[in-house]
Amino acid sequence: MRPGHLDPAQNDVAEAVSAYRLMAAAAAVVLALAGRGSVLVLGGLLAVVAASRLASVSAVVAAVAVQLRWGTASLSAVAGGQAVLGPAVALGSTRAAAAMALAALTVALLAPRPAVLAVAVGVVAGAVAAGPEVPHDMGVRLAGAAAGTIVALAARWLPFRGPLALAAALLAVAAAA
Amino acid sequence: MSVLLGVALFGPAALLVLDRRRTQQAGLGVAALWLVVGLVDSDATLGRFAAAGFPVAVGTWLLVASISWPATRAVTRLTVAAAGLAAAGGALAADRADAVGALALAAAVLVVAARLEADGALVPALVAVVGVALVALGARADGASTLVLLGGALAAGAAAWRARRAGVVLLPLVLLVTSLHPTLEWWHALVVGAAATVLAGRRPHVAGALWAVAAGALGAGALLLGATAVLLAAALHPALALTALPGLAVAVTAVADLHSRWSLVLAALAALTAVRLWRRPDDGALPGRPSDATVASVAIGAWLLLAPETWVSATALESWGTGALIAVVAGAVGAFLAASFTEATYEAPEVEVADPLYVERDPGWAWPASLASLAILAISGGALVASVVS
Repeated sequence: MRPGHLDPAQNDVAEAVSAYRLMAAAAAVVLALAGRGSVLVLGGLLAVVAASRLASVSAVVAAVAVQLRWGTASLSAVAGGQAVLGPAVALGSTRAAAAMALAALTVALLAPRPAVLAVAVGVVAGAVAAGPEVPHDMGVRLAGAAAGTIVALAARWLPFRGPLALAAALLAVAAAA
Repeated sequence: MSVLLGVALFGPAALLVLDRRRTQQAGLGVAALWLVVGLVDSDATLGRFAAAGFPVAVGTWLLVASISWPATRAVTRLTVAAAGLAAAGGALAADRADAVGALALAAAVLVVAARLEADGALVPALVAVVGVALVALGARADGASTLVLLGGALAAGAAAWRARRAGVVLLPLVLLVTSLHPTLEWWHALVVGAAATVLAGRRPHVAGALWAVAAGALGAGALLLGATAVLLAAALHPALALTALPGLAVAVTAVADLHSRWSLVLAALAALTAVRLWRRPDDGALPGRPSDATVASVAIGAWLLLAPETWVSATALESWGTGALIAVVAGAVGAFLAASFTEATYEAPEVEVADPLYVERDPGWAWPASLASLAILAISGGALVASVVS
């Protein structure tokens, strides 16, 4: 069989995987919006959504960067901190702010081609960059989600997204450490 | 509970009369018994044996259940004997010298099993024995922790090298012994992490074992990452690498507290390892009913991934269970919506992975070298005993 021609069995597997990616995307959006749980659970879900070598690893590395920046793995603490102190990308030292901008950029670069998954990834990216706890600063939260979604939708057509995402994630860790 | 602990410790002697298939089934039963003992009363003791060592015993017997070849009775019996010693070593871990002694005895038994397997097992067994000898030397009263770490890395790598063969049962106890006294030396973790990165492409389960050793060196998430290493070695399915996430969360917190620039190098190595480990979930998976050991591994992996805070108490895991619960509910709702409005289908993923093929023959020098390594192990063990007695 020539490359590019899927047999029905392979096609079934691809369909099944994409269904699980939809489930992971739904879970990631809810976690990011609710600001509950662990940032590494979110990273793991994004890794499933991304479903490719470099992008999946980048998702987890970006989650590690967020944990390092805030000194906690709790999404509740991350959202609460942003509600009190301001959006992560405009908070603290330049390095700390850059770390969160790079982490959010990493998440946006993970966006898969299907638009519904890209929107989900964009909402999560917005929460990383500017995601104060609901219902505080809803304007900031909505602006963050909108910006993240736009970047994620645009990033789908970027070449070399995988290496770029991994580089951004590692830089985020370096800046956050 | 002490009675049950006694049954879990000494009952497996009855497995010596069983064939390989029944040993697999009974091995799972012993693992389940240890789990019950540990969860109901982890403070139970029987003489010097303590139920607190149940994670090692569960992992060891799970690995016994995963071994599917060869079917010869002699190898099966030796495997059971080594597993019993290793599980007892875990129960004796309150005294590191006792645990190392049990590890040495198990390693010696496994050299004989490797000789009988006759498919290239002797060299890994030899490396494991040398590693355990170094651990014994390092565990002396005046020993160097560097030796424990180096020996532990050698022994863990060699044990994991041949998944689903007799030697793998050494892995949980090696990981425990190595993590008992963290060295807190960055270069230890970096060297072991670099080795894991190099090996990650072809031997994912070896990489998992080495990262557990590195975590043990830094005192960061060793139990959780060790569990991931054991699950990977038992089931071999790449998706089980996701169970490393809770261990990673704990390790990140602990490593960040050490405030060192070397943590960045360690993070880069870990990311590179993950890149080399990554496989498609269906890569190498076999259709059909998975083995009992694989089902058990997946179940334990799911438990580890969804509720790691029930395994260890750590600040990094405080909100994990809540997040996992929300994710499961949200995922279920997402699945319902996806099934309602898209063509997406849901099929249980294949989780069984074929046994690895080990086709090498043992080189001619391996058996004499193994005997020499056993002599070195005996001397190291003697030195350890002498240091403890004096």
